[in-house]
Amino acid sequence: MSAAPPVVLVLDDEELLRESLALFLENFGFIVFQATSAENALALLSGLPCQAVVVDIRLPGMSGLQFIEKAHSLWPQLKFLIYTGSPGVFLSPEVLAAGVTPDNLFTKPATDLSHLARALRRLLTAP
Amino acid sequence: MKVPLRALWARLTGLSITSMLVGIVLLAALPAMTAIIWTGFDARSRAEAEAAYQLSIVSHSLAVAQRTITGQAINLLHSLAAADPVRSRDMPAASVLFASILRERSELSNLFVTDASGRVMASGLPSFMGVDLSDRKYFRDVVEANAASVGDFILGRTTGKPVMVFAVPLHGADGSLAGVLGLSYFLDGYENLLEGLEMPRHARVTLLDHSGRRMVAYPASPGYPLGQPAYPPAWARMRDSAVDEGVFVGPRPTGEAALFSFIRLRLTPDRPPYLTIVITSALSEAYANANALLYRGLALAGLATVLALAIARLAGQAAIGRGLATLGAAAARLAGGDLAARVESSLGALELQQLGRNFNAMADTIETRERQLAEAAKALGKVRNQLNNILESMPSAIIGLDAAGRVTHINAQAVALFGLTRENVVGSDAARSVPFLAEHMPTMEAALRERRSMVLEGMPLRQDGDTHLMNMLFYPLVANGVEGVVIRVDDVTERERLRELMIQTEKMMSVGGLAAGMAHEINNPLGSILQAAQVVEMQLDPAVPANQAAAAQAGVTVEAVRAYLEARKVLKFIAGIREAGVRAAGIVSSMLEFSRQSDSRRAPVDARIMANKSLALAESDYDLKKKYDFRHITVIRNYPDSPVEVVCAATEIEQVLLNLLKNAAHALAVVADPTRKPTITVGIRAQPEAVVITVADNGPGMDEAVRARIFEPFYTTKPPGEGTGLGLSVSYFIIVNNHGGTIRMDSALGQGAVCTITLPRRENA
Repeated sequence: MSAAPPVVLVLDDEELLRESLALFLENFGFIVFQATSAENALALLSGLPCQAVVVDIRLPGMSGLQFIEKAHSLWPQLKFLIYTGSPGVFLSPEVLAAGVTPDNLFTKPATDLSHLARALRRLLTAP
Repeated sequence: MKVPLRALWARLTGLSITSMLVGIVLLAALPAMTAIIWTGFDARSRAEAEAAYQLSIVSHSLAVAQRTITGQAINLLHSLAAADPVRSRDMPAASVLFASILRERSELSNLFVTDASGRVMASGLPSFMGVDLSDRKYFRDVVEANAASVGDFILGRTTGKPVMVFAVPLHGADGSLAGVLGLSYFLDGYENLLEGLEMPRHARVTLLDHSGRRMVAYPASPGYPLGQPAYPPAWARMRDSAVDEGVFVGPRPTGEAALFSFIRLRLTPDRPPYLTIVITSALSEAYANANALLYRGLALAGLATVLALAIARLAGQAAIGRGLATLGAAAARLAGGDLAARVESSLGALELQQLGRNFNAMADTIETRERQLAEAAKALGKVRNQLNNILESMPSAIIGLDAAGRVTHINAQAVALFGLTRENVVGSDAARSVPFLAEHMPTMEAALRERRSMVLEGMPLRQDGDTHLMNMLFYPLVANGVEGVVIRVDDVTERERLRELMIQTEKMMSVGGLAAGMAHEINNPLGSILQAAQVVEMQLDPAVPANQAAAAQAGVTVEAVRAYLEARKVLKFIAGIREAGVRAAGIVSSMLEFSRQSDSRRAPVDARIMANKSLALAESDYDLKKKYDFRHITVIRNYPDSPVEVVCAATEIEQVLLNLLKNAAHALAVVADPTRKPTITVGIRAQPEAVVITVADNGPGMDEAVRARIFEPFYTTKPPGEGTGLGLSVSYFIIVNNHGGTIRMDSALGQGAVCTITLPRRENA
């Protein structure tokens, strides 16, 4: 924790989920911003020093996967972790190119958010 | 009368053709013979008439000659009576005159004059003088009739030759009889006369005097002596005849029949006949010609008949006999089975040729029939073979029964299915020889009675300890008067199983689709619940600095809040919320398995290693340990020594095996029987195209109702909360949908349970 706390963005349209996750990650030592839609997230990212985004797939407007493609093209250093209620997400080559691996794919409901939090930390410390 | 005629007719028509032909020829010859014989007899009668005519002509000629002689003699006597010496009774002069006349007329024997007493007074022959002639017939006749008369047969007193005497009366001046003037005539003169006469050959001329004695017999013959009475029968007929001339057939003295023509001569019609002229001819002679004709005719007819017989025989032989013999031989060959027997066309008569052609046509027909029959039999045999082949190659067991319930046919499948031998079954009572059919005989009878097919489905047949399900079709045979029933038995066990599986699969698919749709909707709120609960717990954690800060701001301590929440059991409820949420999440995630395409990598793995991994997991399973300690269960591994490779997603198969092991352990935990050692047997068998993995337990087993639903989602026999009812259905999905294999549960109450998994060895899904 000596280094500056990592800054992440939680993108989810469901408020309770988004806030509880954000709260949990804050307690875990992250600086957490919240976005309610992909468009909203893109707008926020342009002004925030986020290092990673926790992405829900099913969103109003642009989908989570489209968001990843778009965001990756804008900020290639940005890391992504998918947290979705949809089973059987298909990881397209573009999404894989953005560094999303099956290890960074979590399905709702998470029985213990600490798994997700640890995965997020690993993602950010990875080279 | 009729019957013998018919018998005769039958005998006649039953004769051989040769005999018939002879008969026909003879019958044909009969009219000719009759005609010839009739002509012969006719000729004979005409010859007889001709002879009679000729004889009567001769007799008339003789009669005319005789009358002339008699007339001349009487005239001569009348002339001499008027002559001077006689008229003057100058006897010596009369004698001289008579002598001179005798010299002139050699046919005269004598001329003489008697006195009234019959004494010869004058005579041409001196020796005759003085002879008393009063006893002579002619003298008595003249005296009696006072007219001319003719004497009977006498021999000349001086000459000794037969003579005939004519006499006339001499009257005195007073007209009284003074004497008799007589003339004797040599009868041998007749012969000259007769010789000059044209007479039929063989004719015999006889002159008879008034008493029937022969005066002349020509030609002379010792059998006809002169002066002797004629043959009395013939003479009697001539003497007694009503008329003076006639023709009749009578016997000759020699006995032969002869034709008699006679004429009786009288000097005057009122006086008795003085002479009878008789001409005879033997009938044989008269008939000779006719007979010769007849015999010749008969001989010719006979010869013609014989010739006709010979020709008939030859011609019959040529026209009929040979043909018939040929036909007969051919018919015999045909009857003997030589169907190629034919006759050539040259059989003889037209009818026979026709017969021959008909025979050939008949033989052709028979041969064709025979061939058709043979072909039909061959075709029938072929059809029978085909039918047999069809029956034998059918997958169904086929048993044919007659109306009495006896087995008429049984195919190989039926023999195999019921473990029978064909020889023992065919012809025997079906209910006895095929025990399975015994209880179904009423159905068979009903099918026969109602003439409609009957179906029994899913009839259980115990076989080697297994129960197989049979569908039975009873089909009544009522065509062509054949009564019986064909029973088709199909083992539908496998089909039923497949059907079960298909239903299962469909159920799973619908559950999968539903789950996929639901999952997201449920997962999000579930996520909210779980996350919120976790965050609530986290916010009550005294170790979190932000919590202490917030509590201080509120004038409480985190510890105090926790103590309160502890006392009011709020923390316990929050933990309960999390736990329930986790369980719900598990169910949803299991349900998602139904729709998820296997995304695990497929790779060749050793089935033994997979099984061992699953066993290890089961032994360390936390849930299992709670109630059913795996260490109390004997595990038997029936593995081959060598690796059993199968291409699959190893983690999925391991999950399936774990499920099965858990189920087995649960089942074994129920058993309270201390004598039975709880055992799980894991078997692995390598087949050419598949690997078979079995997990068997010796637990309580299950009944059919349970077994049938065992793979259904949410079907569970465990108490609520202990099982989701998804384990086996997920296993089913993994094996059937993801790996193209099969999974089957076999069990019965008290028999334990065996789950059999068959996995294709190569990836094919």
